[in-house]
Amino acid sequence: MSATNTRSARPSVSRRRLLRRLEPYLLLLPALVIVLAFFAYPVLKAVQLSFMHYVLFEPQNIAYSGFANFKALFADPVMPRILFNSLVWVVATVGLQFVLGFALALALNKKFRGKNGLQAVVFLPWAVSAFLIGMIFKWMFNQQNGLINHLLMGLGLIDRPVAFLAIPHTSIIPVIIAMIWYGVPFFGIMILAALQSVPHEIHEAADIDGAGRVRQLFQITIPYIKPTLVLTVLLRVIWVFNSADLIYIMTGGGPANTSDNLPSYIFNKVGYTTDFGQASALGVLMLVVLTLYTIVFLRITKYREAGEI
Amino acid sequence: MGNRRWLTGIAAVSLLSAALTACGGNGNSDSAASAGSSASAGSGGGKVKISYLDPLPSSERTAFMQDMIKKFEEQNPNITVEYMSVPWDEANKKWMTMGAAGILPDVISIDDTSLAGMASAGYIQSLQPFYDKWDQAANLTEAAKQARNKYKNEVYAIPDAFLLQGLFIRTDWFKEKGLPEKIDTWDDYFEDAKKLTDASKGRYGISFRGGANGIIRAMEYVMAATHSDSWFDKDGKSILYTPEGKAAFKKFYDLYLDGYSPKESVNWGFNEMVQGFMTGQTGILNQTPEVIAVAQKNMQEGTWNVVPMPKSDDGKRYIFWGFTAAYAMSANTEHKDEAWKFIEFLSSPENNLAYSKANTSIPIYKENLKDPFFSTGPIAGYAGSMADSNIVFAGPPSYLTRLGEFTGTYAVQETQKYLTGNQDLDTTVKNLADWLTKEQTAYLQQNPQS
Amino acid sequence: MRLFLRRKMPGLVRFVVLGLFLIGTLLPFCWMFVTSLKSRREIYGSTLTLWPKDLTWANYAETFRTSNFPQYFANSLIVSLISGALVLVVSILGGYSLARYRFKGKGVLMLVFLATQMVPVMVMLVPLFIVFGNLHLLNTLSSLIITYTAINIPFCLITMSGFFQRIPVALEEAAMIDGCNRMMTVVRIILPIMLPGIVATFVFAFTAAWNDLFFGVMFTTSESVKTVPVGLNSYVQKFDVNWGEMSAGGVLSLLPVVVLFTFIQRYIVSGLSQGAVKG
Repeated sequence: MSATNTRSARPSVSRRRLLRRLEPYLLLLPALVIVLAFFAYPVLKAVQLSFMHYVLFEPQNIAYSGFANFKALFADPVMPRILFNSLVWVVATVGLQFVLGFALALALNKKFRGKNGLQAVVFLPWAVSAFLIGMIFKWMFNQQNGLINHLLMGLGLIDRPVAFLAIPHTSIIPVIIAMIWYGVPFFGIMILAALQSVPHEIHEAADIDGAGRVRQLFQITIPYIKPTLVLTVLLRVIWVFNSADLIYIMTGGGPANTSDNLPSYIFNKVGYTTDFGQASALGVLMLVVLTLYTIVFLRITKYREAGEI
Repeated sequence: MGNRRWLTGIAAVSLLSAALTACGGNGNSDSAASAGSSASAGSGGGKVKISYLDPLPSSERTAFMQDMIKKFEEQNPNITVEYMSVPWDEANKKWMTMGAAGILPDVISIDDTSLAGMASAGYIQSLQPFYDKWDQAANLTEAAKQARNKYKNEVYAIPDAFLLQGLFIRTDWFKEKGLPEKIDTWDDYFEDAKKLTDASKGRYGISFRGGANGIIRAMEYVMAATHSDSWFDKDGKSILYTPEGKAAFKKFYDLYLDGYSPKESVNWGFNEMVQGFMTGQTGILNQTPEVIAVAQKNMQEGTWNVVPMPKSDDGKRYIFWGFTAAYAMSANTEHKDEAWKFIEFLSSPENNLAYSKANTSIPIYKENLKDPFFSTGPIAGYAGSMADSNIVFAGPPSYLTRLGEFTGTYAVQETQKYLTGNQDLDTTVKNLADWLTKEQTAYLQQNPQS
Repeated sequence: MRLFLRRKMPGLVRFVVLGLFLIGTLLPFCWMFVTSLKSRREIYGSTLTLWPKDLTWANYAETFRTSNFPQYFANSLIVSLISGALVLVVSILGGYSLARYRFKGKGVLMLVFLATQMVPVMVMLVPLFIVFGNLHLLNTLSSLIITYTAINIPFCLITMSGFFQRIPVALEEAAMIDGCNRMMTVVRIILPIMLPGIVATFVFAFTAAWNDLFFGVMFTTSESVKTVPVGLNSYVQKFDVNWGEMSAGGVLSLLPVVVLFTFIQRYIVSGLSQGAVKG
């Protein structure tokens, strides 16, 4: 904002033009004030703590420790596993959420009887708290008295209950399923809202040209709503990457961290160690990784250009 | 300096929303103003206001505690107590964050695993001055006196009631298999686990605990098998280093590896192991008496009972005991005397008896133990161990401030790697023993007298 | 035959797809509902029953009798509505700015907004606690309103800017030539077209606040300021999960959201079909 202030000093600029120039900043001001007031201190503090020995249970022993927290982080033998899990978690979750959400939006993008009711129902998972979802899915995937095991046995697919949440390396799958169930409506709503904005004229014109449905979808619809798709995926990746609650509730990251992602690992660990220096280092690492991802993602998708339809 | 600007910003935002809340909320602005940390409490008039944080809210318990508070307020018209609660799973995080922010409620209930950490950090204060003058101190049970409520030899909390381990058994399964409905020795324990298991029916011997704090159950057996009353030998080395210690460790975890407990129990914590027992998945559950109340609600009468912990081959019972909700006082309370008065009230023989009955836990007073309630029904199983003179109180080294980290994360990772076949026995035992020995050595250096 | 396929196939595919979605979505809800109608003994029985053997409404009665659910409900509603509204207003202003103006620092600003979403909440917990503690805001609904507002602004604002970007600039220019100023143009022409996006954004902010457990648990301790998820969380006790009552509480907590969704999803659907794009 200081940039505009210096420019405003130029005498030739009239008040009106100055105001015009300030407009975008003024419009963003409320958001910026609230967000910065809330986040600036905690985030800067986290950056500071990441270079400190800061254990809540040792308030007498707080001091700068250089890169010790980061070194410890990279020396942690489970770290590769957890980074890999984070990747699987994000790609599988967001990928499937996107595909299913898109399918849902396309299916709903037409008038038919009973649509309103149906729409209210399929969007409902969005309105359930992650805690409740975690508990319900954990209960359904249980080995004993679990609905999923019951149904699979009824279908004759398995002859003995499976301990879905306790199998090393795959116990994350039920959590991903729960997460997909949770997130499809988000994509559905966002994409549906975007589809609604595609002018009918375009499709009518394409129909006359004899373009098939699939071609219309890829050549007209998707390019038209690309900004929404790009944004939704971007936001969702960040959100899912930073999401720990379902893992925490359903498997606790177990067995032996094979279903932990980065934030759930922090969450679990810091709860017992109270080592906020170490946790902050992980937080800073996530911040760096995700920032890089965002920059690269926006470049590759040419988001800016897509925005100027 | 930088902080101040942010604070002003936040203040501005909050004013806005506070104003909005006042319009929207029916009477909530009132509670918003009156609630809050201990720091703001008690500023008005002669009436002192203290707050109490309960980590075990449930409809029954909350009602019970609020009833207690009402009685206390009637006896002490100049003190009001605000009841606050946090669900158990998040309690630990909340205590430490509130402590770090300096806004811990005046009185909090904490468990024995967190006590040393909270005390060493200076978030809770020593109750020793009050304890020394307390007229009931002499009437406590031996176990209560020995409880892990001390830090650097000073009392930091008054135990609410006692929990010690006992074995919940499915008596109907025992009958079916023609087994006597008791478990005298650890050998019987392992034998019964084997006999009760019938994987084709989905039945397993043991409600195994592979998740948080599961290592405590394993160490309990290791201590019994090695006849040790500590996790360490005299030189501060972990008992897991000894061949007997390692063999005992192996034998205990074989219960899982040999399939005498459900596959999914590798992740189980408190909740899940209790649930496993109640849903008819497992036949033996090693748990504390509080679970009796839960079992009574969830299970058919006559299908279960509680028996004392098994004896070791030296004829002694090595038993862990502890508390989950001992009363401690915040380090920065402005109302020490009132806070102690409240703790004293909750800990009075009469209230302790009522509390112990409501929670089916073992009271802290010798007199209270004589109440017929504790010699009938499932809880008699616990009273049975208490009455045995051949009892060794063998607790975990809770003086180690990082014990919670060990039992809650490090040991969980290591044992789960072992249980899922990703790490061999030698490495696992060595890692655990190294970790413990390192902490113990550091502790002994800092506290040479103990 | 081919013609038939071409005509009927899309409808059939739609039918199947939606059917599958419906089943997949409903299964967990149904299971929660069925569980809420079972007695404790049946839930913990050794065999699973797909429908309660002895159907009972006791869990609902208990939930109302012993817990402060109405209070939790009111709290959640206040918090979610206020923070949802704040987020919406702020996001419309900021979103418009991001979408319609070229100015220095736009990319940086966007990164700043996104960066706030990249740090795990656990890491920010202690500093936030200290700040709120100093302001005497802990254990108040205000602390939750502020938190949810701040946390949800970045996503909602950026999403909103995406919605603005889809509206052709020409539309605005036409209106301005007709003599409307920018402000009037936006309020009279653009916002009505954007109704689906506005509704979606509000729902996003509302549900995020309605569903949060972490800050609810951390910032509130008194019964009078607890929210619904915090209330539900206390059914998970140290030794015991009260599945029946938790499910009953869960079903109840969904009711207002179902009502909300039934009411507003129309706007997402019909917002554009009568919109100004055509006319």
